[in-house]
Amino acid sequence: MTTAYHQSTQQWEADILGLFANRDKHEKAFTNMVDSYNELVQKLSYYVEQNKHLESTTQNAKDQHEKMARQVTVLREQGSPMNQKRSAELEAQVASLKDERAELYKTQGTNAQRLLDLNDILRNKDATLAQNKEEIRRLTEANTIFAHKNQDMQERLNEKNVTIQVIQDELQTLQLEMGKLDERQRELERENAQLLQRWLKMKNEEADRMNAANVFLENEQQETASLSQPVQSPGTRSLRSVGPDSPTQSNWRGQSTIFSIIPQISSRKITTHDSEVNTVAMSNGGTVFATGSNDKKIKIWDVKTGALKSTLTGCLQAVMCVSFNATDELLLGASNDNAARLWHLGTGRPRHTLTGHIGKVFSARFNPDSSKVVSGSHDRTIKVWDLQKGYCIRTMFTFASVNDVCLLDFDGSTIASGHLDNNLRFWDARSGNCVKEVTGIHVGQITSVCPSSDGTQILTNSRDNTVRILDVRTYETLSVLHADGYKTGTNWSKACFSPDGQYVVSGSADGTLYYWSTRDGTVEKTTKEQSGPIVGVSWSNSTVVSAEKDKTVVIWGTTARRPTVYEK
Amino acid sequence: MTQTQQSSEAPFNPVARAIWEGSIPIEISWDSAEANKYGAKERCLLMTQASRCSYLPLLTNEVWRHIRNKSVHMSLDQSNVWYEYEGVPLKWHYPIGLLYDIHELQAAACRGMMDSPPLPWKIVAHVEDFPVEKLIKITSENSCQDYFMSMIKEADYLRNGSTKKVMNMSKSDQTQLWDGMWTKSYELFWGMNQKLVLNDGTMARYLPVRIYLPENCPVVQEPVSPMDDEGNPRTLRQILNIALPDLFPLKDTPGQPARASVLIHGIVPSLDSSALWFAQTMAYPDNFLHLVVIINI
Repeated sequence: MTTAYHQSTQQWEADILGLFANRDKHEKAFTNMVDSYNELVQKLSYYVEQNKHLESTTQNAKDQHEKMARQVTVLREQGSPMNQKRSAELEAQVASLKDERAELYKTQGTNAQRLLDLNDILRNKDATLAQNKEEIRRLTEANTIFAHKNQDMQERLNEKNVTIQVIQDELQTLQLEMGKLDERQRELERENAQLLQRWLKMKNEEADRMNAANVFLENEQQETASLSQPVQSPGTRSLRSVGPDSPTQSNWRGQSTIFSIIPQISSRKITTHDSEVNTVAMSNGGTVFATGSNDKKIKIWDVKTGALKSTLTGCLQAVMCVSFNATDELLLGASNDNAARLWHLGTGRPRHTLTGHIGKVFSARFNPDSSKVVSGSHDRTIKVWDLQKGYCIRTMFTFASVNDVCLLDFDGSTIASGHLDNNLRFWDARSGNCVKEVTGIHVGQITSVCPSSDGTQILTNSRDNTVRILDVRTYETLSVLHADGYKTGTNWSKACFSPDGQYVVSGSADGTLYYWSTRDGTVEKTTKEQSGPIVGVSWSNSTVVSAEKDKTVVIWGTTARRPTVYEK
Repeated sequence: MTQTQQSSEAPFNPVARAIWEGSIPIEISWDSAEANKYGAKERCLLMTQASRCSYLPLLTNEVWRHIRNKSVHMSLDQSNVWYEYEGVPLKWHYPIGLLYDIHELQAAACRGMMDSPPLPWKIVAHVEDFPVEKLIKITSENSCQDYFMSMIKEADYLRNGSTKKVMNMSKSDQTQLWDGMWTKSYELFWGMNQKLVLNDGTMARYLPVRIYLPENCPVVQEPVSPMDDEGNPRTLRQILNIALPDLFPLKDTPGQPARASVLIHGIVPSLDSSALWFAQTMAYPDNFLHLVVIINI
């Protein structure tokens, strides 16, 4: 099967292949054409693509071109954005420059204004300068004139000096003359005093003789009376002394009841302290006087010589009041240091310091037997001190500051006090009660109270420039003493009676001493030696001591033992 | 004849090769009415040397591209493309060679002209009015491939009585057949196909043959076995006699030309060749012998 089959297959193959070849001749003839056609188609499509692409590119280019053209036109109109920006910038710059310029104009304006102002100021300054120059010229002229005047004055002064010299020479000669005249006067005075002394001695001798005779008579009478029934004597006919006072009660002050003469002659003027004098008191014997001052010292002076005997220190503040005791051994000093001090005059040493007051002690007094001291103070109390015990035994509340106290009885049982409230009060020393308050007597504060030597009257000095004398028993005003020109100088100015009670002396604010007569209340005499206010007067025997605030004390006497000497 | 070659190497078979390389020039142009409608200036769409073994749908892609390029606005899609020749819609599931044989050669013979019909074959592409009563609509891209594979399966069934052989082939082998077919790769295709065709040496039960008659007669498909009852291999004449006894008598009357002849692949083969050999060698890629009958007047 196989080979035959094979053969036939081969045959068939060959046949068919031939047929195929034939077919292909026809069918494949177009291959080339188809291929080239396809190629062309491809190329065509490619070119179409390209064309499209190119067209699009050209379109793009055209668009670009158009855009550019538009831009160019825009630029032509407005310039590029760059230029626009630049022009905007420039415009801004221009605007700012314009602003600056405006500013500069403004500043220029202000500067011009300032310039004008400164010119004005300059003109004013020139004017003032011219004025000043003018003034300087005037002043220099005046200066020269004054220089001339000065020269003239100098010359005149020289002349005057020459004249003074001449006058001094004349004065000296006159002084010499006066000295001589004073000598003469003193001589005469001495003679006068001597004569007076002799006459007084004679009178005293007579009085003594009289007294002795009286005593003798009395004794005889007594003898006869004791022998027989006591016969009522017709009355003691006492040989009276010339003085009007009754001598029966021997003056408890221990002073001789001789009539007082107003001392008129200032025998001594002493500058006593370094600062103001507040008080002066003469001793009961009349030999010394004491002064108390703001310099805290008390000075003891001799009356006759005016010499300083001793100085008592110890007070811490100003001394307002000094007072001697009955025997003149002790001295009380009341001080603004709220204490009163006691010195023994013989030794000059302080004995007691009486503290207890709570205000300035304006006054302190011994009682007659020097066992007690009464002090009055601005703390409105009166204190009674026992000197043996050494402390205050009674305090009396007085309602008003005490300016002065004094004791009335000779046993010191009644105390009188003058107050700031213009009232006078009387106190019982033993009970401490206010016995009487005398009001309505003064219209100014009472500056001093002074008892009379017989204890029946009391003298009050007051700031209302009057001095009153009151009766101690009836508390009635006996007389009011005043005078034109009499003004109480200080709140503690003291007035006092004369030893015989006939006169009252007080110092005035201008340094004048006024002497009133107690009987009729008229001014008997005024003496003036001092110029400042009188702070106190003290009369003993026939000597008055007056102290003025201005540190001087004048001793007034009745005889010119020596010519007035101005002593320190 | 390389019956004993079992390797997947493509056998050297000049006939098969010649068949494989057969091609006809086709000019596809667009229907003029449609072209006017769509604003295309030229009608000629495609001029190509199409392989006889290929199918029309495989050209559709390119045709469509050209249509798209030419048309101004195209709203239809590719699946609407159909072809016709002289008013007759072309069945797309026939191989191109078969279509040409049917239409050109057969028509020309019927008209009495034995000259070769004019080449290139001018067919007209249409985009609209798909003739659904005449043609099967292409539903998917793979329609052609599915139909091709179904023909191969049918051929296998005819040969072996079951499609076991084809179905047992791996997916990649099946696709290799199709791929080889449409990429025109002889080696790829015949590497697979020979297994089917040669059938491991076993004799086919029936031969896969289809006979096409002119003037739209229905297709004749008779089961013809390659061997006759005595075990002799049948010739083509005998096979045809079984199928169309009137047209193909067993013996030619002397003195008269044959009544009809058979056209395949554009040639008229001798009818005395072995049917089996014929079926093995002259088959189309889809393993069928598509025989076109030309009636001689």
